[in-house]
Amino acid sequence: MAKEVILSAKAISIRAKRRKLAEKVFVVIAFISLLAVLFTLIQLLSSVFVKGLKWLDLQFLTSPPSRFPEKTGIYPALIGSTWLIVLTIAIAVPIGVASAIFLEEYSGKSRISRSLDIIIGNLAGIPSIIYGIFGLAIFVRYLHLGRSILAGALTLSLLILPVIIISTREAIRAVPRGLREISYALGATKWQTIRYVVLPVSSRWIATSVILSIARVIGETAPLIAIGALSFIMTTPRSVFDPFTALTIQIYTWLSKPQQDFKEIAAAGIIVLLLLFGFFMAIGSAVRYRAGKFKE
Amino acid sequence: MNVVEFKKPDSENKVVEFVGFGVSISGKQIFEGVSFPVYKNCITAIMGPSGSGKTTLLRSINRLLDEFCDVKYSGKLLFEGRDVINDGVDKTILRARIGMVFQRPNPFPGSIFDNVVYGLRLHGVRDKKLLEEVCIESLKKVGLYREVKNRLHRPAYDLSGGQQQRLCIARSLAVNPHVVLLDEPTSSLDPTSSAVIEELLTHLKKECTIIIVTHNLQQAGRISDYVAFLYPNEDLVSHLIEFGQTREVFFNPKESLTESYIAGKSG
Amino acid sequence: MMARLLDRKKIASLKERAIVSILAASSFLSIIVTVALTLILFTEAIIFFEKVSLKEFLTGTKWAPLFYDPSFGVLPLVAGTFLTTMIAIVIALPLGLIIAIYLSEYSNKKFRHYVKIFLEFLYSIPTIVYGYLALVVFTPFLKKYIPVEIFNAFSASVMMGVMILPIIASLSEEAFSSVPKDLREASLALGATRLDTVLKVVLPYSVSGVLASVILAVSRAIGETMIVAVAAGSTPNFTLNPFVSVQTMTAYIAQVSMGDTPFGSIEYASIYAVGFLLFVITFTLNYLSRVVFRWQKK
Ligand SMILES: Nc1ncnc2c1ncn2[C@@H]1O[C@H](COP(=O)(O)OP(=O)(O)OP(=O)(O)O)[C@@H](O)[C@H]1O
Ligand SMILES: [Mg+2]
Repeated sequence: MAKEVILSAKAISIRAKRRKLAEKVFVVIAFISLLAVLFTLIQLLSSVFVKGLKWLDLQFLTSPPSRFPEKTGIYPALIGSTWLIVLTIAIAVPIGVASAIFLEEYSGKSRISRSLDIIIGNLAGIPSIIYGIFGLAIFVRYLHLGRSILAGALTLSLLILPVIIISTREAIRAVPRGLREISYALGATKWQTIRYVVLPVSSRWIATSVILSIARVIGETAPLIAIGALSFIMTTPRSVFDPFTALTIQIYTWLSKPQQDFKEIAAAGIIVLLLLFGFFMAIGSAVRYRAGKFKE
Repeated sequence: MNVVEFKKPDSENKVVEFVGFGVSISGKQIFEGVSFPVYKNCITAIMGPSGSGKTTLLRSINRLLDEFCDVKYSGKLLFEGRDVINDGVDKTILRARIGMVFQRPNPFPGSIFDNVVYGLRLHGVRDKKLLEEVCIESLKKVGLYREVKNRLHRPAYDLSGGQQQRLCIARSLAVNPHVVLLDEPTSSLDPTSSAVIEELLTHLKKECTIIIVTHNLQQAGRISDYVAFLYPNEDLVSHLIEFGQTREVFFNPKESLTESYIAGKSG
Repeated sequence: MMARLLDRKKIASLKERAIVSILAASSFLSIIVTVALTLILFTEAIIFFEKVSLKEFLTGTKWAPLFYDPSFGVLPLVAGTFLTTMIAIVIALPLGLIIAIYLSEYSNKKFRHYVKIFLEFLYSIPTIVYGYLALVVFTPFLKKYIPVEIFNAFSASVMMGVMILPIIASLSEEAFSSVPKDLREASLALGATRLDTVLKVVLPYSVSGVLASVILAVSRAIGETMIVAVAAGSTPNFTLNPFVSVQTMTAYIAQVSMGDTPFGSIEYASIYAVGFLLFVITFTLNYLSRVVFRWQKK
């Protein structure tokens, strides 16, 4: 038969050699690409450290910004970022967790719940700068909050709300069915079951999403620029209605200055930013890792 | 690597032969000491309770087992006279000579035509006319040609489950294999489609040797010529309990284990 | 005794009802935000379009809001966005796909786990850091070989590529992993290598998942602000030359809202017009991504 001749062992083997070679080449290329990405990142980040480390000292951490590179510092920005984190989390987490509970436990598969699903998904995909100009119009302008910490925190809350809702829902969904049934069997009401079974069991996952949100708040820049967080703030804010600056905003301002020194100072700011960000990311990942183990 | 053509055995020959064959996966012995032959142009059924290593046995013949887990083989597994475990056999050639059909129909994305000629293209056949010829011939062998001749270039997913499974058989036949391995090929199909495939297999054995894993005793009884019966011992390591002509094993089992298994299954 | 118990139940149910109302109210906040956001963008944009015609906005090739005789053709901003996004995708798509294939087909579980954590970290690094890297590290490096402007689209795009690479790599890897195992096995059993299997079976099977990830990555690149604001410049430039300064839609919004633009001025209104356009584009892309993703489930 004709086919037999064509698919002789020799023909197959010649082709197979070529295909196996192609595969080897691919694996090498893929591995190199992966290493290249890793290496580039390490290279880039190490250049940040090389440039910034010499400016990073106690004076830098405890001084307000200044026109003179050797005197400038990041203190008000650190305080501003702390305010932002605390306020944003305080606003967004209760609301986010509450909506997640409602959507997971009470709204069922109704039309409303499905449209809410879509709406929240959409909110999560909106560019952050748009939240910024929305906050600018609503909080700064119409609610007369001015360019204050509160306006900033409200804006960031809207930004992280969908993220918290989505991850909390996942956490709630992961609670084993059996646990709930036991609770109902003991005569608990739905709310009691949620309050004493579902939330405690899923608390680690929820904590993860909160911690990761903190990391996100620390790194967010664009919306704060849009609502007009100021950079040249010498004093630390005393109330939520005061104007403020934040780490990222401060870094951005330094980057915008033409002098080379300020570029390096920006690098010092980035080191602080990355350390804080990395700290929360690491905790978040660790908690999630352990929560994952717990689930198994 | 050795480029030696597997010889089609002339007559009476054992196409596949297990000699004291054993497999362990990630350190866990699945079965050991399995010895039996697979005769040319016969249907050999492998039977046994769930977890007794039937699938594992089947997948070691074309060395598919190596792909996803950490396997250790012992003993010999001869395919057309050469030990596929120890003789440095080229797996690509081995797999070109051994077709495989799975529990659930698994057509590739793409057209019916693409599916059937997948193996040929892989092995370098580019000639359009030849591909078409082989495609039609293979589809005819599985009795699918009349049903799909007007939509050879439509997606394979449009076919029914039974048709898809026959397509998968055609896909493995297109490279003209010497042996076809089937792992419970009808377990996800309705009785009518199953019957069609059973019928098909009894015709196919004129062209190639067939090894089938099945849970369905009636099916094994209807179509197979030989039966190998695996059963795990108390350490959950399986052994070959009995091998022989189907009729013998079914009506005149030598081992009481076989007898009770058959009685339990059919009763 | 019984009465008291019943009473308690009643109180409990009253309390429960109150709680449920609070929960419901919180989730309706999402609806309110969505409506308010759309409304604000729209009404502020309307103010803009009372002064500038929609046609001029969408087809004009000159964006000069600060000139004595200002012109508001958005195309230079769109071109800037398009340019940076395209370069970013050209970098991220092949790399992301290769990494995804490697992870799903060749790497062991542990390695995959760690790389995925690394990718997630890469994606969530504050983008101002990428902006810094583009401006302070990459551009000077580039300058040694090509005559580029200090602010240029290319540097920003490369960093943007690094930022969106994890989206493509992670989501594509997930799409590959969702391909049934026995499809792969059938291909291997016919004598294919894993690479053959990926190219001929796995990729075609999961093409919608890959496409969805790419669309999502495009949407993120379009909406990214800080990298381009820091490194790509602020010159509205109707060009596709990557080595000169350009301004994207997001960078323009950042630039204007940062300054002390008085509320009610046309400049102030213009950020909402641009914002509205940006919103429509990203919304459409996100929607498209979801639709495409759903194909695979069929
Ligand atoms: N990849 C693997 N890793 C570890 N153990 C495995 C693996 N594959 C199979 N096994 C084990 O090998 C044994 C035999 O499995 P196999 O699938 O061959 O049984 P089977 O007879 O085909 O069962 P069934 O009738 O249910 O299909 C089982 O105990 C199984 O747990
Ligand atoms: Mg099996």
